[in-house]
Amino acid sequence: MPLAAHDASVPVVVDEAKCIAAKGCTVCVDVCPLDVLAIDLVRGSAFMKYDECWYCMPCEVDCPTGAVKVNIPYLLR
Amino acid sequence: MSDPETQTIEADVLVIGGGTGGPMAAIRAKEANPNLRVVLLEKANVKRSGAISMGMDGLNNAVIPGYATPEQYVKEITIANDGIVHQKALLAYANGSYDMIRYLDKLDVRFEKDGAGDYAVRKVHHMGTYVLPMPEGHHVKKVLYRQLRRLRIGVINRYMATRLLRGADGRIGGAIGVNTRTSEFLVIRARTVVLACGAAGRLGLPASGYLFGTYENAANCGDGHAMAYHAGAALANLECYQINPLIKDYNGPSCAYVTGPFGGYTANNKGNRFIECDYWSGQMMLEFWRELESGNGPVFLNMRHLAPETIGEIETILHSNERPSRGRFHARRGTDYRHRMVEMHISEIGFCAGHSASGVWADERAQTTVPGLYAVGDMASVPHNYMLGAFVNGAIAGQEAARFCAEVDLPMPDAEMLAAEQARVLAPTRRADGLTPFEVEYKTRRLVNDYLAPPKITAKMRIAQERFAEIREDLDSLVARDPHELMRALEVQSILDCADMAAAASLYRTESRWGFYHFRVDYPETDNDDWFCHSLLCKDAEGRMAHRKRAVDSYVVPVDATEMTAYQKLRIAPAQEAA
Amino acid sequence: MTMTVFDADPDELGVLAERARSADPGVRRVAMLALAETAEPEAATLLIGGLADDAAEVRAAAAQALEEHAGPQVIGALAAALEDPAPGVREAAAVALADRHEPDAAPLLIARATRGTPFARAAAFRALRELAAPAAGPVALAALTDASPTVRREAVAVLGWLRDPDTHAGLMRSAGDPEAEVRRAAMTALVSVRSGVPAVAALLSGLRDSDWQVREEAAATLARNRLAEAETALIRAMDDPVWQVQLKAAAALGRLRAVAALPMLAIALASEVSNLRREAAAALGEIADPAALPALHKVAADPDPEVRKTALWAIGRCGGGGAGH
Repeated sequence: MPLAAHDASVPVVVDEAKCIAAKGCTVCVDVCPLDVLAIDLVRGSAFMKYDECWYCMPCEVDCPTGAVKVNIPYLLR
Repeated sequence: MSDPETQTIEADVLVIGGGTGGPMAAIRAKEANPNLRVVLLEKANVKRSGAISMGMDGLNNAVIPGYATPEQYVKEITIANDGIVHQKALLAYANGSYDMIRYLDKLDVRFEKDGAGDYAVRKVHHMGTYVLPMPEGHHVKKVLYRQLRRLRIGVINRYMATRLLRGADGRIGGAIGVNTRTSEFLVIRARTVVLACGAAGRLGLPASGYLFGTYENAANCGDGHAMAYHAGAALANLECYQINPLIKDYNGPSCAYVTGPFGGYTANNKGNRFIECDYWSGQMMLEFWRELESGNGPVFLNMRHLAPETIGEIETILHSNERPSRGRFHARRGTDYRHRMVEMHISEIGFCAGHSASGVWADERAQTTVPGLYAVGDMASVPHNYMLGAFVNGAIAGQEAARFCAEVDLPMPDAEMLAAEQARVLAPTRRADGLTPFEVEYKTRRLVNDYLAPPKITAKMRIAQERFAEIREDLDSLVARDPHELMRALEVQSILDCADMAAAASLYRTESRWGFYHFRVDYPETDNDDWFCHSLLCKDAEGRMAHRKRAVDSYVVPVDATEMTAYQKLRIAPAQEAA
Repeated sequence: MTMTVFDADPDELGVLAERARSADPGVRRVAMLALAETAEPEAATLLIGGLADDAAEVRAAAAQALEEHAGPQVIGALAAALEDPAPGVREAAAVALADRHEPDAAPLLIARATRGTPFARAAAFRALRELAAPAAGPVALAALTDASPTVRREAVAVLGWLRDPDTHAGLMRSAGDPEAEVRRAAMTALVSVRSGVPAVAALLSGLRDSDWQVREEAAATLARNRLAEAETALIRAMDDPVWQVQLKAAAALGRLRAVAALPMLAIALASEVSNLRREAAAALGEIADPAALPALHKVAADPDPEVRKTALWAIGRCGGGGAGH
């Protein structure tokens, strides 16, 4: 069975201008209970890699620069 | 993926799950004996894992001298659970409740206090007083983490335990784990294991269809229940589901415990209260469901009558603790508590002793039926545990494990079993195509909603079992393209195990009990002659799902028949009263 | 496999020390946050150094991370950071001080509470409240006339937790503070004065306050301390224009078993607000006088189940049959 790629809007948005992943920060990636965030090494910024969000907000609250915003996933908005 | 390496480490006390009860078990084991090698294994990161990831807004079951006695508490929980409780475990919790509050207080967990610094207990229940608000309760995880650091407890993050190990004599021997980011294998040989993996909260599918929009932290998917089952431990009363009132679509708690003391309440579409039941129980959920299904639905949380200043205080609490994104959810829909009621619903089904009663059998010493294995928190069978129960029983388990591991040696794991488990775990990584964990999970949970959610109908549950058997064959087609997907592929296997257990346990108990939780349409009456007992489910010697009854131990706090019905008598409909 | 044991790893600490000296403020900020994880005293020293960083975001991160460290140097540094030019740093320091419970911190906080900006003094009092240190009494008393209402409010809260009879007179004076938020805090704190004519007088003035939340809080404190001297005033409060005040007054009258309150409570049973009807029924149940039965029977068929259940319970208590317990 070949696999199809599913596209979906992701709830967690990272402001690249504020994100300091390039300086070695991994706070949001560390705290996510569902491990859905990752660092884009090329852009030097965190991003939501998997659409598996519990909209619990540690990523946003613990981010030292206020770069992360958790939106409510579209399906339940 | 190439085959990852396997590492082996040893521990005296291995705690699986770093949410609430788990860290407390590790802390108390280490405090009991600082020389012990205590290891805390966590699928996510201990800093922000578990049901209280963002803290908690209050204690719902605080037994504080002057407000409630342990005996009173035991009695009320016995009544709320239609008598099917292991009272000794309830009493052990109740006796430890106040000491735990003071211990947490000392660690800088903030509870609401009055103007003189005394605990500001609020009355919510009709009979007892157990609610202690925590308006600044968003710090709980930080405090736990600080104590883990002070005691220098070994923490292993981002490892998911997949199976428990047992020694040749049947004693617990440790666990196998896999890294969720690298798929590295880890064998932890241990003298004792404390399971603290949380609820099986990813069982039913939320009405929104969003897989991770669950009532419980979506990481809590029943791994602990499945591991305990495969290790031969008994699980109790699984047919007593967790179903909770919640905010429609958002799936967050309704927080009657927070808004109640401020004057907020659950209302029907006429704006009137309708819940007769005094206890958080299946009976209450039955009333809730009936109102939803009646012409009076939907159901709402009403705060419109409160003063703007009061609403402001409520918002501060609700939007900074436990599930803070609710404020954002309401804002987007234009729901302001001052003017509009909040639409509510009931949650998908799950197993969770935090609000209900089912889980891995655990006695007053947090012991399961496997020697050396303990279970605490939402996944253990002590009813209505909430956060404080997870702490108290975690502490009990930590102390018991510390004691037990001093008496026993380290069992030798079975090499054949280790190899077989490695093959099972890695199988999805060996396929280039097949079924994704997402679709298998979606289908399993959709079927749970279709066939297992109450009202429970025998014919439907049998269909569910047929469909689950088909999905079990599909597991051989699961494909995982990276370690993260492998974690989801392993989780879906736990979810399927839990779905099978939910169906089997519900079919076994041929009566109705616990209100909506086990409302069996084919057996609508409660049958105390045949079913005033626990139902235990476990894996038999042939690897099949087996059931047995366990008599309810004689009560340590007697509850007479009048008391059992006292609160029901208060539930008299206005029409009857007027007649 | 990485096991965090929070142990002294000299290499790791060395790397962090180096990063804390980086020319890049972003790197320094991340280093500060990482130093919260290390239990070693050297980490605290580095963080205290971070409080003097040129970049405000580095100082804020240092203040935040210092919450995870202990000792007089840490408290002293955080107390000084309460006057940092950047608001973010000041707030982080205030949170770090308030979230901990370090009895040794009292002398430093007391010193901080007496001088400096209103923000710093209020934050010092906020942290002192939890410590309930007797030495804080005189300082808090003196702060009751501070120009800043926030400082006065925090000082009042400190006095409530202290329960020191020598400070009671001051607390009672605060019941007449020009600011409602201070008067409300005084009503809350007066719960620590268990009895006595002056305390009752202060609470009675609260019951007549222009601000409804002060009146509500006064009634709640009277209920908690069961001050029978307030019975007449509480009965009068059943006429309050705000139902929340009536509700707290009803609860207090129930606790006082005030038979004289029966007529007013019976009127409250007819309120449009179901919360008040329920509280009035509960109070009548507490009072347990059969004279309340006719009024209670009227709400035994109330459309609100909570009112109905409470009324049935109260009827039982008044000897009128039904399911009392």
